[in-house]
Amino acid sequence: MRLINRVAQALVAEGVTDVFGMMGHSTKYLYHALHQEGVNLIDVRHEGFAMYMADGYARSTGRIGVCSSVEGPGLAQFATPLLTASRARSPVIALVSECAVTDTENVHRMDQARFVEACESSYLSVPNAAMVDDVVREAFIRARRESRPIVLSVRDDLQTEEVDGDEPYVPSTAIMPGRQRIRPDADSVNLAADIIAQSRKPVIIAGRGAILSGAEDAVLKLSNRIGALIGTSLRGRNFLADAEYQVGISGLYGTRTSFQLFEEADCVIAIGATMNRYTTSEGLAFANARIVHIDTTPQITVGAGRKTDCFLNADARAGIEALEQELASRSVQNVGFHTPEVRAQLAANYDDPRSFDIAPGEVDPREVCRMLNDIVPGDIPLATAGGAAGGFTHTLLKRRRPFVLSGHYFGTTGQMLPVALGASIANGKKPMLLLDGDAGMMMVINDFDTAVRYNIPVLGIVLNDQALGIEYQMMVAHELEEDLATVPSPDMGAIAVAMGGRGRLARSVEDVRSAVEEWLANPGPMIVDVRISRNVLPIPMARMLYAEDV
Amino acid sequence: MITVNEAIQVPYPRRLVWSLLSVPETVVGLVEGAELIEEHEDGTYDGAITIQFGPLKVMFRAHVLLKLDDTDMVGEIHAQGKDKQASTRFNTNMNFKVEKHADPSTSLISANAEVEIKGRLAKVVETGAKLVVKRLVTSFTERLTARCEAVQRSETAV
Repeated sequence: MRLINRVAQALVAEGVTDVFGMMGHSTKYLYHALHQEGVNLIDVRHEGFAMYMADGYARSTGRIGVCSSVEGPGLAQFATPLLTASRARSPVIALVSECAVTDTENVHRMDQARFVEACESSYLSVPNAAMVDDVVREAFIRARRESRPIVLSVRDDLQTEEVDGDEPYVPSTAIMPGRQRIRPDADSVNLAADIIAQSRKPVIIAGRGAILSGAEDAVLKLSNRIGALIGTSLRGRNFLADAEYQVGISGLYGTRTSFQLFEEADCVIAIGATMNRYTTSEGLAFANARIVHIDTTPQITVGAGRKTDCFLNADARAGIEALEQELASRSVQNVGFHTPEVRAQLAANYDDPRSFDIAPGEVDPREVCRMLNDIVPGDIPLATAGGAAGGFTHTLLKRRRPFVLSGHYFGTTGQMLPVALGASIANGKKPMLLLDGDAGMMMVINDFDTAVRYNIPVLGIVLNDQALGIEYQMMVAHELEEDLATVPSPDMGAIAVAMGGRGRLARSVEDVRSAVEEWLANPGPMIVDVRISRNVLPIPMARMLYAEDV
Repeated sequence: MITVNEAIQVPYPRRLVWSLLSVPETVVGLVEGAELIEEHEDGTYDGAITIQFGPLKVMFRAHVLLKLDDTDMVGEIHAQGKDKQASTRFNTNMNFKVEKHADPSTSLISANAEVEIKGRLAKVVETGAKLVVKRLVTSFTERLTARCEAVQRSETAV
């Protein structure tokens, strides 16, 4: 058996069913071997797109996403996606080739290990035929343990070497212990309970850790006991979105009501949230609150280096359940924020009274978001990009959904189309709603062709202001030449059609609604290019640039 | 560095306006969100000011030096402060002057402020900070006008 066939066997034994990539001459054996093993190969037009798809696969499931590229220039195309996946803490394995040691004049030669390390990822190379099982297994162990990309390389000259392959490959899952919930220390639970019992106005901030640990019921129970408002980080957005006292995202994408209510907080219970600078408004929010922090990763500070008052090193659900039990044993019960007055405030939580002049043929992006939030059913997952579009979508698409992916990792433009496609494939080609800006979509639109070839049912709504939205608004505020930030774009709906998918150019909310209804009736790859008005300033920009109290 | 220059006319005599601006407690009361905490023997003060940046309110503790020149009716406020976490610091120099006007029943008040914000808050507010400072200066002059009116009304009543 060839070594590369053993690698393919090992991948299948590790549970790999899909590999995203672009074949190169030195990965031809790998592709052939994977095909023989029944692996679903998804061919892309740009190697970076494959890495993003694997990232989306991992982000939406927690399973390892796998992608592939040729050595040298192919691997170099992974640079930004590697950093993005690393920041997203996505377990991803990238299979790459590597020039033979003796092939010193190969134009593809580069120091791959150093490159990968610089991209905040790890590099493992199969050193010889005897080590192939060990190195593949280590790659899977480390991807899970470190929760970041591992680039696994097989040198050209090793790929066709013969290996025995007479023993079954032992997958990493047979060696690694199963997932265990970290239980909190009893003394720390007591201290946290002391702080919470003294609180009159507690707030819970749930992050991605709360979602991943399945802490919904536990958080709701605690919230009801102590009268806590439930806010989220951006990564935890839409968590318990239908709960009565859920106030949305804390910090940068927070509503005005959330700022007003959080100002009263005397205790913050952060659950599986890093409480970074965005969630805490540079550490300036919750100025009068004591902080109880529950996380699996030891964190002694929150945004701006502020010390936590009590840290519980625990799984989110296990930590909350322990706290709830302790508070119940003390008969702690508090009304807190759970009052008719707060309910009345929350009824208008997402209102935005600002009005703007909208030119004919342009649309208010807020109306598009509200309409999408209403008509796209809650069983359809959501992916939203950052940038100016994120200023609308992160806040207004607030419905509870199976999962919600936000494209803020590494601040990378153009990550969300491939992430959404990878997430759809990971979930059995589940229909996905994607919202992106024009710059993000145009950066990767060549690979919409991949969505068409594999009939991946992603609806891409482009909030197209024909500009680099954030930069445009900054140029205006700084009294610079704002036209420098405008970039006209072609009709992306027409591009989608030309690629064999469906598409529309929308110049009214009704245009968008009709396209979405068509997609809902028959999901498939589709782009709706919505021409939005640049006059509508995203709320985070209105605050930052004009200090508007909105 | 944020620089704000404001000049307004108030329909009150110069002497009345200065009688208010020469009392530290009154001056502090004219600054939106400010309070005086303690006066020190060297003539400086500890104070606090809560400033609203968008929907976010941030309280700063500040050390304030107030210099007043009764003859020329000129005042200087120097304040240095930091927020509770000391992640943001500010440094302010403000000069104000009550000047003569052709109409003796009217005064001209000029206020020039330089504010430097360093640290984490600077990232949150970007160009918005200048508008916040301008708002504070405008509010200062509006409050002063209202206070003058109140004093004159009470004097007239007596």
